[in-house]
Amino acid sequence: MSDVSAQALALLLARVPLFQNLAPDELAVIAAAAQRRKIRRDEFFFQQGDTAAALYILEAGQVRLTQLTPEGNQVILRFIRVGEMFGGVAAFGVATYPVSAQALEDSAAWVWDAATMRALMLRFPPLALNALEHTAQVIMQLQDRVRELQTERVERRVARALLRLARQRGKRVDAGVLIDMALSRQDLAELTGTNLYSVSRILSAWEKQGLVEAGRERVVLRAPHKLVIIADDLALPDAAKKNSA
Amino acid sequence: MADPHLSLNMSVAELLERHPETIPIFMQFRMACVGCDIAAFETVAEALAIYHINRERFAAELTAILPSHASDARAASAEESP
Repeated sequence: MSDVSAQALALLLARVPLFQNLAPDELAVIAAAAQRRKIRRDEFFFQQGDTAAALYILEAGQVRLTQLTPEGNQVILRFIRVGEMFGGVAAFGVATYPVSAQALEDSAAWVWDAATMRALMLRFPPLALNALEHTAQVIMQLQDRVRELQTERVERRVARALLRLARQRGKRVDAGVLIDMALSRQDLAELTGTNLYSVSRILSAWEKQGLVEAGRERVVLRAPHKLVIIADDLALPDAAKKNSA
Repeated sequence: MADPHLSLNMSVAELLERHPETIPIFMQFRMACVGCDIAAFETVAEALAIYHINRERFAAELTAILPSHASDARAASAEESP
């Protein structure tokens, strides 16, 4: 790559989180180690599932990152602008790309293959430390998400238990459907394999949202359909969707 | 012909029980009523309101499918609970 291009790239690198805390001459070496790759509009720099062979920084054009969900839907994750990094998992030791990167117009990118990145990290420790910090952030986000999913799972169990009870002992009243039996939070906790704390927390939240009325031993389902949506994890059109907490 | 509007005032469970031929209509309108735990506690009209489905459209589909038995309409009248 020409000196001019390398200089231009070094300036851009200074703004990319992965390349923070590096001296200008170090950035110059890193910039000089990059290759350049061009693709046409609608072509891919890489596809989901491909071996994570290289890290990219967009030099020109526009790119979108998409992912195929387990349900088979294509979702757009984000748009990459000039100067932004994508395919960074190649630098963080991940084996395959979790997303596809498609050009929305004719585009060009600076590219470092995984082996080059590894060599640069050994030579410039701040680069490796930045990669570690990014990985730590991703782990924390994933932990939050796991906690959310576990909470959702418990909520589904409680909703399912209430609906099962309603099917057996439900009685239509003005406020909704009364579960016509003595039903304490402790009973519910035992029925759902959870504890009093979880059940109380969930019922309080649902009460605030108008889904249930939970007395000491008396539960009324005020919005039974919303509980059905929770219990069965239904993906319904917007009109019938639950409120989000 | 059995009055589709009488059907709207039945519980969902009752309509599905007495007229299983209406199941495809519920499916067509993407309603999760078939087998639902609370089908016995909500009228068809209430379910339509929750799903934001136009009553007349639904009633039109019922009209096309429900058997035209006068005795059926009379039985529905007699059994209808307030």
